[in-house]
Amino acid sequence: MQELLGQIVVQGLMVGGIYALAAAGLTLIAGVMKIINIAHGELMMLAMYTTYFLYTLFGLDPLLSVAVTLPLFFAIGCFLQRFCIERLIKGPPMSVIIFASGLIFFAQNLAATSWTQDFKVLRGYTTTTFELFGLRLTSTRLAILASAVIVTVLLYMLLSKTKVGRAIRATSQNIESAQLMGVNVKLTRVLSFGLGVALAGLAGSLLMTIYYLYPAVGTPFGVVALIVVFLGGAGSIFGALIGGLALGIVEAFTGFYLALELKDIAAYIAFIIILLVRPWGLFGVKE
Amino acid sequence: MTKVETGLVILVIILAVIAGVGYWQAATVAPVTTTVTSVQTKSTTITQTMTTTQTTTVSLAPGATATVTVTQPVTTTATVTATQTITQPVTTTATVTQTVTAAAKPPEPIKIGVLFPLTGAAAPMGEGHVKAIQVYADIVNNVWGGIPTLGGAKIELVIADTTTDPKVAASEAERLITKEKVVAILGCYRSADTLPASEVAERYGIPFVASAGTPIVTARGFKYVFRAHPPVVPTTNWAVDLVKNVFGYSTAAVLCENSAMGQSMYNMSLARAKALGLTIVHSELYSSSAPDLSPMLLKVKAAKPDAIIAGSYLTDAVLMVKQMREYDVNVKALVFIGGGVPSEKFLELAGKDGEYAFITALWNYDSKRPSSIEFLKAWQAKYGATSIPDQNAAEAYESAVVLVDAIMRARSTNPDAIRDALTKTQLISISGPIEFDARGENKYGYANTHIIQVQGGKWVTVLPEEAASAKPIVPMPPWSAR
Repeated sequence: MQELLGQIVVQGLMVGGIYALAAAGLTLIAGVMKIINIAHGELMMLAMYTTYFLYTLFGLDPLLSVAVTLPLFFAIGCFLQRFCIERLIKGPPMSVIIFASGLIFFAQNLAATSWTQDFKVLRGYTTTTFELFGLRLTSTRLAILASAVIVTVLLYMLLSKTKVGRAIRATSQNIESAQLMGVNVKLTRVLSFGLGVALAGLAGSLLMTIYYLYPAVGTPFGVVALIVVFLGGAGSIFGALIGGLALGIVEAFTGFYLALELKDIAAYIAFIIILLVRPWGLFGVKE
Repeated sequence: MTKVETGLVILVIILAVIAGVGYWQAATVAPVTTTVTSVQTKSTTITQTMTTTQTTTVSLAPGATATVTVTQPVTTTATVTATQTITQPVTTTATVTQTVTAAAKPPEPIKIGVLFPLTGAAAPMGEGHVKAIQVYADIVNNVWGGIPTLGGAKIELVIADTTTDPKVAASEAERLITKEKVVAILGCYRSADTLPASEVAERYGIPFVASAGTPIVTARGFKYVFRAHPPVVPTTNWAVDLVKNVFGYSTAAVLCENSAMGQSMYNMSLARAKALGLTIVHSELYSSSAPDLSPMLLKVKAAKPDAIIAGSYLTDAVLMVKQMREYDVNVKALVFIGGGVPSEKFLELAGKDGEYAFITALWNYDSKRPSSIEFLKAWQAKYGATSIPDQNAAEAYESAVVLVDAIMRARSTNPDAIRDALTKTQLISISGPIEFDARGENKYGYANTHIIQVQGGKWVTVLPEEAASAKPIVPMPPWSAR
């Protein structure tokens, strides 16, 4: 079985890439806005449907459909922030979570009534697998892993090198001071929420290439994304990447050496222990 | 206005809209329709449809007697004699006013509870069950004109949703029995939902004809629970028998999902393999919602079995074949244990990767049995010529056939009479002969199991011979040669 060790690591990384990508948008929102968007998985689900219909109706390659989902979900995110969340943050702190849970049921039932409960896959879309140094790699899973790394690097550069990024970071650290320094806090929040939702759209589009689709598909991924965010540390861009990949590898190893049935138990025990030791997450900042 | 007042006004408006819709719905319910037949002495029949009260004019010959029969909902005979002396044909007007009363309805429709998952993960399979039962209800109501031994009473399906949740299944079963007053229940596809729902039926003494795989359904010593189609015992045993006895292979891997269904398949297939001397080189339980099965499949690849015996649901079965291709896991035969994998959806989702897979099924649409051909015809008449019922539809159809047959022989809607009639069932349905043993299990479950294989993008029956349309193809070619 030892000859499969490398394959297991690769497998863990490829699954972890999905988790990391799902978590990237969420950690941005959690870090800047200090709110938890528990409907992140449902936004991914809607992006999966978008990709599915672009593929089945117009034959658009799911990887290219990113060109549609990214701007579309950026717009959806901006809209949600400007007209919903902005109003809700004036209410009690729980109201955003309650709103998001409403959004979850709305999105799932909308999908169920519009597109039925049927499982859907991209029919006729085949991924290529190839061997490299004796490891079997899948093109789409590699694309997801690569996207997760690229997104992380781009996000990091955006936050650290650009003016918008500085505004986002300033808003996340201290709203009053940021306002005093002339940062348009409202606009910054709209942009960062839009960006976070756009990343959910990206994750959904890419996930569609390897997974099947049904109205409740977003829930498990939303939960995993939340876990990865808090594992890595809310707001930490690299934390999300490392957290996602770590979770993937833990799952792959327990799945292989113990039993597939136990992999969730192992992953969540690891998560709970890490949280107890470092309540602010692996790469989070202690407040 | 204060905020509270605004809120109240909005609430009142919403309530008014709901009430309005409700009233409009009630108002648009179709009026009771009755048929009046006026018969002249010269045997001319005039048939016309009228609402509760209506005047009808009939031309009569001299001295004629008009018989006015209101066939629905009551039968009345009115003799109308012309009051004047008639010497030559004239036109006489007779007015018959018949007020419809609720007490005199035709035989009450027989309510049958149809309890399946219509939302949640198992919804696509539950839908197939309900559609098949509707096909049979149409045959009974429209082709036969109701149940002949009960004065042509129609059957009325009361459809309920388990939401793929055992708790809801139990509470819906209770509602069907106590509120809807159903005489029997058909359900629930998922073993996990069927167990609590049938328990409720047993408690109330209502016959429950189950469509579910786990052997526990009939192993609880219940008196009111029956199952017509082969449960997972014969379909699981068949998977092992197929690999060892039919194909003559010596090693296999057993992979089952970890819910009630998969666990019973897992234990039974390991026991059967031991009994037959089939070496199990790897066995594992997995979660059917796992987004990735590769750690398990890599172990199978390392263990190099001749065959994989899998107890799966739909999405995990699809994921399994797709990831077998991705990781180049090659075996001579891939056998899914029937019950969890709906064949047509599998074909649709797995595409080319599903080719050569076997299912030890309950039935397949290419079956050559006459009753199967009849079912396929009725299904396609209702749902379109390209629509294909899968084995989920077949098991539900068969359950409905068995139940209606029992009601017919019971000549009663009394649940105990139906239950007694069920124990005396003796018929040949679409999967083969059906007769219940003391547990309520079909004695012919093993013989009725169908082995089906994907060949050229279609499921074909390869066993039993009475139903088969092709020979099995083994070993399946390696992924590199496809």
